[in-house]
Amino acid sequence: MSDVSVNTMTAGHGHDASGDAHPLGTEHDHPKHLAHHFDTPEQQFTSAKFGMWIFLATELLMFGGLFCAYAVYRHNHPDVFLYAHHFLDKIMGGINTVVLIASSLTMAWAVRASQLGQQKLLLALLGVTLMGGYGFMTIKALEYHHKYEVNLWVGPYNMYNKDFKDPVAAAGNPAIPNLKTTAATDASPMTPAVAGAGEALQSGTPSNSNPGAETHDLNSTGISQATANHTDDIKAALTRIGPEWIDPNAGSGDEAQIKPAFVQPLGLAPKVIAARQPMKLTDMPKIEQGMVNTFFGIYFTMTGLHGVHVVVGMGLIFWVMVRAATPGQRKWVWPAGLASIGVYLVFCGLLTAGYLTGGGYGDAHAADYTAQTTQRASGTNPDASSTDLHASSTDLRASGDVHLSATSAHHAGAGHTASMSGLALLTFGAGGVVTVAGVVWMLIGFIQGRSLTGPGEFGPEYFTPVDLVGLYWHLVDLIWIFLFPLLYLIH
Amino acid sequence: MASMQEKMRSLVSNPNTGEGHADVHSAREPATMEGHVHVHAVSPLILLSVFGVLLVLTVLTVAVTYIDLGPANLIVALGIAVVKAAFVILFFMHMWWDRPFNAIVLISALLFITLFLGFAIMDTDNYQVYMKPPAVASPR
Amino acid sequence: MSAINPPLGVPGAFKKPATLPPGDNYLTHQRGILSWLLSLDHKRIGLMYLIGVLGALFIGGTFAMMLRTELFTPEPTFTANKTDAWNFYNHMFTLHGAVMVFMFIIPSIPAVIGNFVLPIMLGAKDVAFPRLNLLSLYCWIFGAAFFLYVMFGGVLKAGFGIALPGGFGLDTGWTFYTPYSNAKSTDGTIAALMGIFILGFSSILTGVNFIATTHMLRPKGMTWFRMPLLVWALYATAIIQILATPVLAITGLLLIAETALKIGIFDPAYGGDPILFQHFFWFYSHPAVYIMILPGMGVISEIISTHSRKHIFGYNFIAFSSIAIALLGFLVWGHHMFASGQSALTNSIFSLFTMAVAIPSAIKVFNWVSTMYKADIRFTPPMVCAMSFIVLFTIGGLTGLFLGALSTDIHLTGTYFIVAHFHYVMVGSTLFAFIGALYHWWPKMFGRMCNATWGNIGAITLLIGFNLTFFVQFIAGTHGMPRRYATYEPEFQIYHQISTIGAYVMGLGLFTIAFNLLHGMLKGRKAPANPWGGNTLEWHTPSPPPHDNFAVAPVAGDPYELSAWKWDESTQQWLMDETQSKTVSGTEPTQKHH
Repeated sequence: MSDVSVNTMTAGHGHDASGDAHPLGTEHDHPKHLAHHFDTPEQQFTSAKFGMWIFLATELLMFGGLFCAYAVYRHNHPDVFLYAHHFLDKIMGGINTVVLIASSLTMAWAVRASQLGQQKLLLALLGVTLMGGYGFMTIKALEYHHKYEVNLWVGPYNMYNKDFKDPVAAAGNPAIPNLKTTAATDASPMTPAVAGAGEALQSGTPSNSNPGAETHDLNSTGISQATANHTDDIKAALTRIGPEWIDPNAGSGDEAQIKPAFVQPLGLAPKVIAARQPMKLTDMPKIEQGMVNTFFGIYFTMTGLHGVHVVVGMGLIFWVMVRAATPGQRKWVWPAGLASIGVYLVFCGLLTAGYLTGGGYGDAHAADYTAQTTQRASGTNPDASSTDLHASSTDLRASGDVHLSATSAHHAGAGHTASMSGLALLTFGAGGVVTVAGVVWMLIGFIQGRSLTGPGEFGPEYFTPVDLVGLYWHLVDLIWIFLFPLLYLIH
Repeated sequence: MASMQEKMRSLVSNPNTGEGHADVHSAREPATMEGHVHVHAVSPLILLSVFGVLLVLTVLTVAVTYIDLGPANLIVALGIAVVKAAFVILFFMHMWWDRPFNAIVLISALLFITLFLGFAIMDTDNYQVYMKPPAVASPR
Repeated sequence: MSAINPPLGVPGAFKKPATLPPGDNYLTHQRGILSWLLSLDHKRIGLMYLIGVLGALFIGGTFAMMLRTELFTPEPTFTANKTDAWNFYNHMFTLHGAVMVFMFIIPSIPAVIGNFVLPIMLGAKDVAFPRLNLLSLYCWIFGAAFFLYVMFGGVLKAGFGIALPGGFGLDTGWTFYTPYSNAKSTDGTIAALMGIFILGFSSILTGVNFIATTHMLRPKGMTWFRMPLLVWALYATAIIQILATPVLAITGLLLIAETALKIGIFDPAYGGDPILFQHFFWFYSHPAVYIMILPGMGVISEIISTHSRKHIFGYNFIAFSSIAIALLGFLVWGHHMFASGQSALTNSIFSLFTMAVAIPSAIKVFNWVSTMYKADIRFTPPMVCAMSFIVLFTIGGLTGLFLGALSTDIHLTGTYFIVAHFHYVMVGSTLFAFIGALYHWWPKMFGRMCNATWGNIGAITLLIGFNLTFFVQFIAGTHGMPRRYATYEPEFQIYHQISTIGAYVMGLGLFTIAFNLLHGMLKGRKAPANPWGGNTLEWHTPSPPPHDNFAVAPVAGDPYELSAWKWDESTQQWLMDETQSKTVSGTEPTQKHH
C-alpha cells in the first residue's frame, strides 16, 4: 500500500516554514487558506474532515430511521414486499448502481488529482462525476415517470390505494385505458418493469422457471395470447382488490387492530419461494392486498430522499468544479453547468409530456385531481367505483391490441398524441431557455479565446473541499448500495 | 487532586493518535512541514481494483436473487451490501488511512442505528401476537 | 479550509497587535447591524441566540399563564362557548409545550451559554466552523418563525376567530402522536413538522461544531481531564444532538409523507404500526430530555465550585457521569410508552435502564453537595440558582422513579403527576441553571455587574412560585387528575387554584430577574476580568473579551484550582497570585498562541 501512496508533504512550497517560531503579533506569512482560529493547515484539515464525518454520521442516522420504518413494515408484511417489488425494474436499478459506483470511482480519483495538483485531470474527473449524477437522475426520472404512467404513483395516484379512482376514465377519455402500459407487453428497454408488472398480475399462465422470463418472456412468445390473459387477469385482479377497499373497523374502537398475515422471521413467504414464481396478488390475505400501495410510498420516500441527496451532491460537485477551474476555464465551466441543467430540464419536460415513453396522458391525472377530491369529499360509493373500474377494464381489453405496438408507436397508434401543457411545458420551456443561454455563453467564451491554463484553487496544500464533497458523494453511493437490494432485489 | 489530574492526563492524551491539542502537531512534525497537509493520495491501482470488486459484487447480488436460498437470501443480499459499503468506506473514503477517531464516529453511528432498529423490531414482533384479526367484511 | 472557515473579513485579521487598544472588545470591535447579523464571532452569535431564546421563553411563558388562568376554574374562562374554549385550550397547550421544548429549552444553554463560553473556556479564538455556527442561528430563526406562524394561526383561529392565511394550527400536543396527528387533526401537522425539521438542523449544526471544537481546538496544557465540566457536559450534549436529532428529522419526514401521501407506515388501516411512531419520536425526544438537562448540570458544576471557593469534588466522576447519562439516555426511550401497548418484554428492559440512568444523575448531585460541604459559600445570585437547582432536580429525579417503575407508572401515566415531574426536571432544573448561567456569565458578556440583592430576591421568588405551582400537581396527579384537559372535577379545584397563583408568582419572579439583568447590562458597575474568582479560562481574559478572546493565547491548568485567586478589596476584584501555584491556568506571553 505504501509504495503507491504519495505523501503530498514532499511537494514544494517552502513558504511559512518558520511560522511556528513567530511570536504572535509580528508580521506573519499566513497560509492563504488558513482561517484565523486555526494554528496549522493540518489542524484545519483534520478538523474539517472530522466535522464532515460527524455530519455523515447524522446523515446515516437519518437514513437509519428510514431503514427502520422499512424493516418494521417488511417484517410485519413480508408478502406485500415480495409481491410489489416486481413492479420495480431491477435492470434499471442495477444500471443505476453501476453508474453511481463509477461516479464514486471518478470522485475518489478526483480527490487524488487534487492532492497531486493535477488541475486539468481534476476538472475532467469532477465533470465525469457530475455526468454520473445526471445519468443517475435520468434513469431515476424514467423510472418515476413510468410509475406515474401506470398508476403506481403515490397517494391516490396509486391503483392499490383505496382512494384510487381511475383518472383517465374519470376524465372522460375512453381512448386511453387504465393500466395501459401495465397490460401492454412493452418491448422498450426503457420500461421492462412493465412486463414484470404484467406478469405479476397474471394469475392464469403457468409458472415459468426461467429467471429471465420476468422481463423477456412475454416479449418473445405468445404476445397476443398473453395479452388477452393479462387483460382478463388485470380485470379480475382489480375486481378482487377493490381499490375502494375500506378498513372494516374504521371509526370503531377496534380501528387500531389489524392482523398481520403471518409473521416470518426474515420477511419471506415460504410458500411463494417454493412455487418459484412471481407472486400473485391473490396469494396474499385480503387485508394485505390493501397494503400494497404502502410499498410504493416507502419506495418513493426512500429513493426520493436519496435523490435529493444526489441533487445536493451534484450541486456541491459543480461548486467544487468552479473553484477548481482556472479563471480562464471558468468561462466555460459556468455556461457548461448551466447548459447541463437546461438539457436535463428539457428531458424532464419531454418525459412529463409523454414524448419519450408513450402517451401524453400525464395531465389527465392533474385534471382529474379536483374531480377526484370532490368525489372523495362527498363519500365514495363502492359500487359506483367498481362500475368505473369495470368500464375501464373493458376499455383496456378493447384497445389491448393497439398497445402491442412498440413504444414509439404508442401514442401515434393509439390515436392520441403527447400533449405539452402545464408543468411539462414549463419545464421544457425553462430548460430550453437555460440550455440556449448556456450554449450562447459558452460560444462567447470561445470567441473571446480565454487561456485555459493556470493555477486552480486546489493543490497539495489545500484540497479540503474536494475531499469533503467526495466524502458526501460516496455517502450517497453507500446509501444506494443498501437501497438497491432492499427495494429491487427482494426474494 | 492535582496529581490525579496529571495521571489522567498522561493516560488520556496520546499524541500518536493525532487526537488532542494543537501543539501535538507542531511538536511531532518538523517545522518545514508547516503549510502542508499530511495525507496519502490513493493510487489508481487501488481505485480501479475497488471499482472492479464493486462491479463484481453488484452482478453477484443481482445474480443471487435468482437462486433460492430461503431466508438466507436476505442475509446474503445484505452481506454483499455490507462488503460493498466497507470497500467504499475504506478506500474511496480513505478510512483505511484516516484518523481512527473518524472510524469511531462512523461505527458509533452504525451502533445507534442498530440499537434503534433492534428495539423497534423486537417490540413490534412481540406485540403482533396480541393483535386480533379484524372481521374483514369486504364490500364485495 | 476556506470553504468552511474563511479568513475573517479583512485579509489581515490574523495579524493583530500584541496588545489590544484599550476598550476594544467583541461588542465594539465592529459596528453596525450587519456586523452583527453576518458575524462569525461565536460570542455575537451566542448573544443573538440569547435574544431569540428569551423571546421564545416569553411566548411560551405567556401561554403557560393563559393555561393556568383557564384552569383556575373548571368553567371556560376565555370564551363562553365550551367547545371553543376547549379547542382553544388544546392549541394553547400545544403551543406552550412545543415552543418551550423546541425553541427554548433545547437551544437555551448549548446555543447561548455554550456558544459564548465554550470556545473561551477552551482558549480558542472561535468554534471550529464559524460559518456553520451562523447557519445554525439562521436555521433557528427561520424554523422558529415558520413554526410560530403555524402555531399562532391555530391559536388565533381557535381563540379569537382570526384566520391567518393558511391558518394551520396544531392541537396534537408537542408529541405529534399518531393516529391523531396523521388521520384526525392534520391541518398543521405538515407545516409544524417542517418548522421542527429546520429547528433540528440548527441543533445538529451546533452539535457538530461543539464536538469538533472540543476535539481540535483545546489549548496548550488542556488535556481531556483538565477541561471544565461545562465543556464535558456540552460535549456529551453534542453527542446526543448529532445522534438523536437526525431521527427526529426522519420522523418528521415520515409523518409528513404519511399525512400527505397516505402511505401507511404508522397508520394501521394500511398495515402500519402506530406504536412505531412513538418509538421514532422518543428515540429522539428522550435523549432530547438530556439535551435539555445535561448542559444545565455542567453550568451547576461551574457555579458550585466557583461560588463555594472550593475545588470541585470528584471531577472525574462528574465528567464520566455526563458521558454515561448521554449514552444511557439512548436506552430508556421506551419508558414514555409503558402504557402505549408496547410489549411487556420491551417494557421491562426499558424500566431497568431507566433505573440505571438514575445512578450517574445521583453521582452528580452527590458531588455537588460534597463540594459545598464545609465550603466558603457565597450567596450570590448564581449560587442561589444553583442551590435551587439541586433541590428541584432531586425532587424531579426522585419522582421519576415512580414513573420508571412499571406498576406505579400505570397509575400515574397521563396525570398531573407526570406534568409536575417533567416540569421539575425541565423548568425547575434547566430554567434555574439557565438563569444561574446568565447571572454567572453576565459580567463576562456585557462587562457589567448585576445587583446581587435583587438577583437573589428574583431567584427566591421564582423558587417559591415554582414549588407552589408544581408541587400541588403531584398531589392532584396521584388523585387522578388527567393532564391536557381544560376542565376538571370540583374536587381538584383547590390544587388548580394554588397552582395558578404559584404560576403568577413565578411570572413575578421572572420579571424581577429580567429587569435586574437588563438594569445590570445598562447601569451596573463595571465588571472586572474575574468577578467571581473562577479559574476557567474565560476569567483570564478581560470583561467583555476582545474579538479574538485572548490577547495572548492561554495555557490551561486545573480549572478548579481556585487557591491562587485572592480578593482585592480596593479594586473589588479577584486577582491571581502568580507565585502561588504552577498548576493554575495562566497566560504565557512567550508562547505561541495555543
